[in-house]
Amino acid sequence: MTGILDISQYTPRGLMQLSQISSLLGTSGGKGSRSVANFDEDTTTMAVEAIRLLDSEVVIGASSLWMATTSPAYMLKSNATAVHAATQMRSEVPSFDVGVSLRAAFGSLRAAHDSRGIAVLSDTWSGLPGGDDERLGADAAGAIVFGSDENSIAIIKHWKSSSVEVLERWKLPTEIDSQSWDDRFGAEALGAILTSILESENISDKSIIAFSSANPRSTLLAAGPVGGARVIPNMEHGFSGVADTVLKLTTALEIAQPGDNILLVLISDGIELVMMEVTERITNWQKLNEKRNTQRLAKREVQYADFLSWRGRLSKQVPRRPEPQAPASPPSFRNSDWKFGLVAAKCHDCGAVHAPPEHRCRGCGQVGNFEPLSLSRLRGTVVTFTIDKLAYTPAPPLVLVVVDFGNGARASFEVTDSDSSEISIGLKVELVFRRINTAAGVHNYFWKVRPIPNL
Amino acid sequence: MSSNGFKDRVAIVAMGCTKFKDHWDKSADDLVVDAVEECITQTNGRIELKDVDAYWVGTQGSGMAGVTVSRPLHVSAPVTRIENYCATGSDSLRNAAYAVGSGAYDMVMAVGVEKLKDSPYSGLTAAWPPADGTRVDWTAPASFSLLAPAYAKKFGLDNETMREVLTHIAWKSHQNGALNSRAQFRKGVSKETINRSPQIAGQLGVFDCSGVSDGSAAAIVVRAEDAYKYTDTPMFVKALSLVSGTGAGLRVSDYDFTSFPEVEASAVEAYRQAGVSNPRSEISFAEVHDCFTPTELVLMEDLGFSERGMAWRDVLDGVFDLGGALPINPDGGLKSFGHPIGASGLRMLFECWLQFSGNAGERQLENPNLGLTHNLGGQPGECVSFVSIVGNNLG
Repeated sequence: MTGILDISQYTPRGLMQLSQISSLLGTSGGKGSRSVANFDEDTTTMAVEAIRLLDSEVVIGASSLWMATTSPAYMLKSNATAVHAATQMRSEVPSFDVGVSLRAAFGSLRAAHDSRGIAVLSDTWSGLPGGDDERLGADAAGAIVFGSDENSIAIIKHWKSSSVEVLERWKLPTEIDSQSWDDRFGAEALGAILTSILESENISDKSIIAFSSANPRSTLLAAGPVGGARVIPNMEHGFSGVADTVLKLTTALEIAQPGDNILLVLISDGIELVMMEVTERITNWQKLNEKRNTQRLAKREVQYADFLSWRGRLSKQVPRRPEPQAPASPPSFRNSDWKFGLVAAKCHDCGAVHAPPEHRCRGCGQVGNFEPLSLSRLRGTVVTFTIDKLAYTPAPPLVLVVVDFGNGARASFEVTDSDSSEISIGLKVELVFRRINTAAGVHNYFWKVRPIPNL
Repeated sequence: MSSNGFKDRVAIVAMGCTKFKDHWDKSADDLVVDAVEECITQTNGRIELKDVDAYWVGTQGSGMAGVTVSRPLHVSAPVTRIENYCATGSDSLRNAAYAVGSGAYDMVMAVGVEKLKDSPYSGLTAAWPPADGTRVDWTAPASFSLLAPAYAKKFGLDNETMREVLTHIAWKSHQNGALNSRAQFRKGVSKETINRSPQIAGQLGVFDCSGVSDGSAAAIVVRAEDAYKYTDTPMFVKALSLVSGTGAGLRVSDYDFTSFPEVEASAVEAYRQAGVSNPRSEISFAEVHDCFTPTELVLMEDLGFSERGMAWRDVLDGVFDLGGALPINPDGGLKSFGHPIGASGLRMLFECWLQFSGNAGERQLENPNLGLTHNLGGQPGECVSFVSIVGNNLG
């Protein structure tokens, strides 16, 4: 049998009050808030964040990587390989992109389950300004590692599936806006099949059910026929596409007791269901998860104008500075370990660390004899910093820091996910994988730093 | 570092320098022609363009190859194009001087030119080779702004004092520039205006930064023994030094952003060549690379004009003012001239030329005999530094 070894969720630090939408556009409603990916985040970088939250030993042992999203950063070119590189998975571990419908959520879960690998589900979800998808959507990622049932927090018991061809929510590849039919139609069209699948399950007061659907009416209807089971409510900060399944499953695991069974149900172009039984190991995981939750940065308010601008719906005047240069393919390829994995070079002879790697050692002058040393999980210390108001950034001002790694190596980075007032000399920072910019149709991925929460 | 020195082997016998400003009506070619024309004209027929055996032209991005000067001047001659960050203009002179000193040529010309205002950008830009996208894109003000907090912290200056020091440097340079008809900015600026200027990077406001302008300058170099054939007031080269750094400051954990090791090394080398043992008292005046106000502050220590940690005091005491013990940037510096990269190093030498020939007008210093020029490119932690020492007498 196969089970879940670990599960993590990543939600961006940005949070937008929905009341901003109604006050700008004059629309009604708008209570609560939604999570918003920073300007330098996309589904690839959020997937990296989610995997980096997992137990690193478990990640190293994983035998495959399945990345699901409905908003891939690239088409044709794999995004999973970027995640694979940034999380320094072994080269022989296969990685695949799964998309581009919401059903990719279960596609990746089933594939990762069958191969005892990692499923990472990452999405940005929005729509036309003032519309439901913008208001009810969210940006997030989640990761699950599957492995032997002996080490699992929940053992997978069975999967059920029903594919239904229905035009409910869709988008043309060339468009940025989704369309949907009347929510009531969508919910009711799939209602009967959902009911019959749920009736075939042995639901009791030991059951926890998590429904995931882009259609708000579907989750409402579904909660009807579940008897004494506990139903996981919709996420406070919105529906995050394929990631919603992982976020809801995490919530279920947070309240589960050993012996409970959890049903995770996706309602989208049919019904997908997985049933799992919670083991004794859940208690330890809950403690670990609690600790992870205390290590998150406090949420940060995002202005609606910034959200619109970051999503490409509002163009702003930029400073009179040259456009960023797109990274070139050959140097990105030969420096891939540095660019994606933040892997420095340590001299075999004298131990000097070079970040980025160099061909000739600064310490002893030897040429070519180095071993890799990953810096991505190290803490850095801010040596000095500046706030640059001349440089262009979608979220001004640009904060630049010089960081020492405590091993002799020093490098410069952009700061992200924080206000300039949070940065000071001596501050401890962690590394985060981000999209520096996009130029000439090429995403420039590299690492930035942000303050370490609750240090 | 060892070098064989270069004292009194060559001399500059003519110089030209355009106004530095927004030359909307002039191209880089036009500016080169104007600077060279002034240079030749002042020799009163003693030198013609055809007498020049070879050329070195410094430009960061306003031309490629030697044709940058051979085409506008209509000369067919050996021309070498030099690029060495913001020390480009100085390095063209350095290489030209070596060519005469080696005996390869009798008379050469160094030309520097930059046409920046045909681009719409704020600040300086550069075309970098294709790369992997992992290098942080420091703008110049951002990278040099790191000096101010580091210096203040190390030497215990509070924010107010540091501001006062930086403001004094900008104020002094604009006072000097107001006396210079070739400067881009020709008005004194009040300390209140400097203090209140909009922030650019870190603690740096607009008035802590040098401007962007167009300009060109040129110098004719001959063997020292031939110098008096062409002018009564030759300027003898006492020292030329250039240090290109290892970049360790941005890569290794032992650099503290309160000095430029490259500048210190290039200064030590230049003083050795020129036989200067006490720069503060022996140097009459200096033209230094004041790209940003904290740069000038730190340079005072790296060039040995102030003790470590004491330059801020000397600045406030007026030591470096036009009437002070050691005038710095009497022509107004990059602050008043802007920074047309290829031309700046030669513009600094042009002020030395004027001072030694008694043609510096209201800025004229009393009996100067040794001048120093300093030109810096790159950023704190990874830079190129040039120092020259020139004088009006042999020996």
